[in-house]
Amino acid sequence: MKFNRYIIIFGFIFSSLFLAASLSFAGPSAPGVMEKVDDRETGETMTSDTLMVLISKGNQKRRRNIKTIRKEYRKDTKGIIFFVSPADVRNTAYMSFDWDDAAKEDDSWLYLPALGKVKRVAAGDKSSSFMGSDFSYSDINGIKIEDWDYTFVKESYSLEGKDTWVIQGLPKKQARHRVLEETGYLKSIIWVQKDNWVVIKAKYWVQKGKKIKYFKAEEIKNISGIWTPLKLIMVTTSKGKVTHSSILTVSNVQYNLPVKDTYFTTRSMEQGL
Amino acid sequence: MDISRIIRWVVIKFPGTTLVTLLLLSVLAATQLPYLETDPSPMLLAPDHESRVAIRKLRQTYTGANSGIIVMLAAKDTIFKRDTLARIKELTRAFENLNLITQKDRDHLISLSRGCPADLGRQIAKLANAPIESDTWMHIDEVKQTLEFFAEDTPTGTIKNLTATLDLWLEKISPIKKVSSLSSTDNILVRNDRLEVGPIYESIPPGPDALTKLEEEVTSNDMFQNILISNTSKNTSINIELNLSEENIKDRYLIYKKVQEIVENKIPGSENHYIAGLPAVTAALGKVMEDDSKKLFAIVIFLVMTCLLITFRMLKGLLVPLSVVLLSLVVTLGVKAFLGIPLNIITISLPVFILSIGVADGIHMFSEYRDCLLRGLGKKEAVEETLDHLTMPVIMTSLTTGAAFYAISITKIVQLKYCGLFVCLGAMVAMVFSLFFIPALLMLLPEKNHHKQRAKQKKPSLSYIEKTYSQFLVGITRKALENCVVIASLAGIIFLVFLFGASKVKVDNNSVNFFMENSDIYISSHALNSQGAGSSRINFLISADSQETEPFKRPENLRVIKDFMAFLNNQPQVGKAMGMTELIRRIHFVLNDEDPLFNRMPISQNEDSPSNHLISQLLLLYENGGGDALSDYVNPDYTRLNLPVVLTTNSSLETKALTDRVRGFANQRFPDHLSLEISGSASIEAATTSEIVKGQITGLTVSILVVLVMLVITFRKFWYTLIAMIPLVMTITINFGVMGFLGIPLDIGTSIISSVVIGIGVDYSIHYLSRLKTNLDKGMTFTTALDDTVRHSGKAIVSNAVTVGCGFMALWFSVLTPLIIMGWLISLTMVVSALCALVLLPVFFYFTLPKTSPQKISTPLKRLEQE
Repeated sequence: MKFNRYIIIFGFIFSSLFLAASLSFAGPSAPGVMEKVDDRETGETMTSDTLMVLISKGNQKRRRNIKTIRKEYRKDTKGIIFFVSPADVRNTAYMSFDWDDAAKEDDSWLYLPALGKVKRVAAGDKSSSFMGSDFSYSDINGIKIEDWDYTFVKESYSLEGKDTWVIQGLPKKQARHRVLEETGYLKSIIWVQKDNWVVIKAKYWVQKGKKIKYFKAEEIKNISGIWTPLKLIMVTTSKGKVTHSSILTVSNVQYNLPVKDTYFTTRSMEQGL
Repeated sequence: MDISRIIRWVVIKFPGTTLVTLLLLSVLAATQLPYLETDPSPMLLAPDHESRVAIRKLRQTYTGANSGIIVMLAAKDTIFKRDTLARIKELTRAFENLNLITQKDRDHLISLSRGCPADLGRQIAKLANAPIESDTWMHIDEVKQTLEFFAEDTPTGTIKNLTATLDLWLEKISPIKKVSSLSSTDNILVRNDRLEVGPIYESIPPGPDALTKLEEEVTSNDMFQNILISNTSKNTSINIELNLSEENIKDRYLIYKKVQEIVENKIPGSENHYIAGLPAVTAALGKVMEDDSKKLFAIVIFLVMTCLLITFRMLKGLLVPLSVVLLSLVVTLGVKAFLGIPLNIITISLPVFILSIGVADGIHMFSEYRDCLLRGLGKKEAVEETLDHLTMPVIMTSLTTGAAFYAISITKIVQLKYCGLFVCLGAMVAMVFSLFFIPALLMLLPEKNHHKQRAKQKKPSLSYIEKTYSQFLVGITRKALENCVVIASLAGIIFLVFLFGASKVKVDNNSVNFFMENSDIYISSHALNSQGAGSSRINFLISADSQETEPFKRPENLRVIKDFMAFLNNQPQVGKAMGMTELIRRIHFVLNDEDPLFNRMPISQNEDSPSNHLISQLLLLYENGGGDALSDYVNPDYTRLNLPVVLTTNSSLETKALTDRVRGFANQRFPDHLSLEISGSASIEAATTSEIVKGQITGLTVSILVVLVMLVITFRKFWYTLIAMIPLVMTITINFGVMGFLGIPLDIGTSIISSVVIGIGVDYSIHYLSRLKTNLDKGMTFTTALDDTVRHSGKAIVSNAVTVGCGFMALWFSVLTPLIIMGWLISLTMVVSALCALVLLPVFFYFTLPKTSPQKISTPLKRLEQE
């Protein structure tokens, strides 16, 4: 089927040219913007410290410090999270391997120092809360943009002095069930800062509990050439009232440090910080 | 000031004006009647009562604390079958999407869409016509957002209207907070060698093996026992937590009806179903009350008419007293409607109270008037004499009745408060109408002359029946005096026996027992109590007052909680106690590969051991795994715990017994820094019980005091007052004794009875003794005086007791148990009260006569015989 292959190659070249043309002359399309956002450089490895502040309806705050190490293997990702404080959960560790191959179930492990052993845990649904915060795993690890239909709400919108694209995302019909399972979202509206392709604001409609979540990224710094938001805020609302919110403050971000593959083993979980 | 003279002057000079004024007043009141609403809340305490404030606070702090409708499915063999599991899943989804949107709401939204720019209008119309689904709320939010964009092109009024309407839609599409069922609840278990927090089942297990595996997974998790499944996998429960306030009766009823419709018709199945829970009780109560209020009204009118016909055997005798009570009822209910006070489960019987009690005055007035005519008086003279004779007695008896009912209203129980106030008002209105309306009406109505002629022809004579009847009453009195010592001793013995019975009376309020035994709600609640976890809820809240951070992660506190949970689960009324410790235990167990050794709280004796961090780590694991039940059980800073407990009883008496034991346990075993609070719908019922007792004690005290004062004013003699009280005390004791012996509890229905006895019974004493006193003061001998008293007052007492007793018979036909029992007991106490008055008053009065008294010396018996 040589002919077919030619068509594919030709088609690919043609569409790339078309994309390039549309980018240069008429500005990007909404899916184009989202693709750029998704492809944005995030470094081969990343290590960081994060302070999580969880704020309840009654304005009661809980603080947790975590240390994150992540490494990319082409499309796959391995990551490990250590709890630093509070003291009673120090050295609790969570490790996950996210495979790009949808057929392959992600792997996760948990280490509870008080129990002294590593336990394999089901990756569970990615729509569930990340470490008890308002962020879900899919908020942290990203979503599969090919499952979504993106359209512009506004091609130019000034948000706090920054020019943004406002893009509406709706799950594709055939992917709706999967999207709901993986993200729990019915719909999203995303504000992308034009000069650095960073999502600085978003609104998510969450199916479970009929909630709306508002995301905001602040203090966006260029670290080793990578635009990195150092403050991430997620506010959950129900019927227009805030029910819970989380603020993640990221520090000591380092990209592309050499991280050994042996770091992502159950042994290193046991060894702790 | 002579009131009777004023009334006489008014009604004889201006009968037309009086009549028209009173009729206009009634018409004015009648215009308010369409606004009269019913409130079927079984909540007996006002929203600002401390127990109800506590439950609102509870709901603000914890999730899952709203009251719910519970649907229990009972399969013949097991619920772990493909069709049952599929039905549970479908039911769960249908319940989650329950909404209150009506066609009217849709039409309204469409009409609003017409004033909008085309695009927006189309978007709104689409929303208005679409079926309500799980993402409708989002589309509403979208429209709201679009509205902001179109704000400039659309009139401000339209925007405001639309925003308000859309907000209302948002409320109406989410009356359900959460549905907990087998298909929507997470399990914590090891699946494929991995720890998993996830739905019990997502797809229906394909074959017998998968079904068995699922059954094992569910039954092995004791957190589900008695909550989701019970009766060895035969029953499963679906809990529908509502987003509606207790006061929103109408919507709660709608939701209940929809739940019923879904279970019975839309998603039917082979399993039996039972629908219970507080919202279901409220809803069913609403329906029953609606049916009852119409029926009771019809029956009481029929009964009162029958009584009037038998008494007077003439149309006028029927219509005059009847119109008085009907107008009194209209005015009373009109005032109630005007003040915006709805009818509740007790005040739906207001027509019975007002008609039965109010008609007595009318009967007295009319029969006196007729007697006057029979004696040959003209119409005007008859009216004058009737007023002369009866103005004071009518005022006195109405005031005592009013006062006794007013005493009922001194309580925190809303239903009783309004019942007391409005029966009191009704009695006053009936008094005014009896004194003004009846004579004015009689003045205007034409009077045939045959009375006069009859009077001229022969001496006014009584019919044969009336004569026999009078002789019978006199006979009784004679027999009683003949055996006065025996009667007095017998009365003493009866008093003591029934006093013993009264000591056994229990105070209980059981909203399920409001219903008949064959009603759906009664059957369902009992099925849930006997085969499920139970149908009512109570919450035990424990707060820690300590310097440490997150005290409820500390082993020394959790150890107390663990013991407390064990104590709770051992109580007979507890179907299931839940709490954070159960969650921790489960995760600990699962994390250790379901080794039975680890099916416990990980609490070590050594508090500094690192294993004490395990609790925090287990909780972190749970949260991180997507578990969301933690906020049901603990506040974010771990200083307050909530232990929701499902009870297998709806009895406030049993609930109170439980809470007393629980408080005892807490006092004994809790360290100083832990404190216990009790909340939840069942605790409101328990609080109700003590309010009923308090209300009963104050009510009785106040009404007795008021009656005493009135008696002293009337008689100005200590002995008379004391004797007048004897029939009252006797009747109340017998009433309570009967309740004690038959196991009838003191509840909102029965707690009214003693006031009815005092309010009406005291009239008997007043009538009887004042006639006797007047006669004696006139210089009659005791025998003659007594004879005359029996012939007049005795007869009046009997006819009054019969009328009131008959009127209250209407309540026998209610479908609400407290009203039925109240009807029976009031009918009974009327008989007892009349009997006590007729027998005990002469006997005890006889004892008080001084030994040297000429009346006493001439033995009444002999004198009577001579006569």
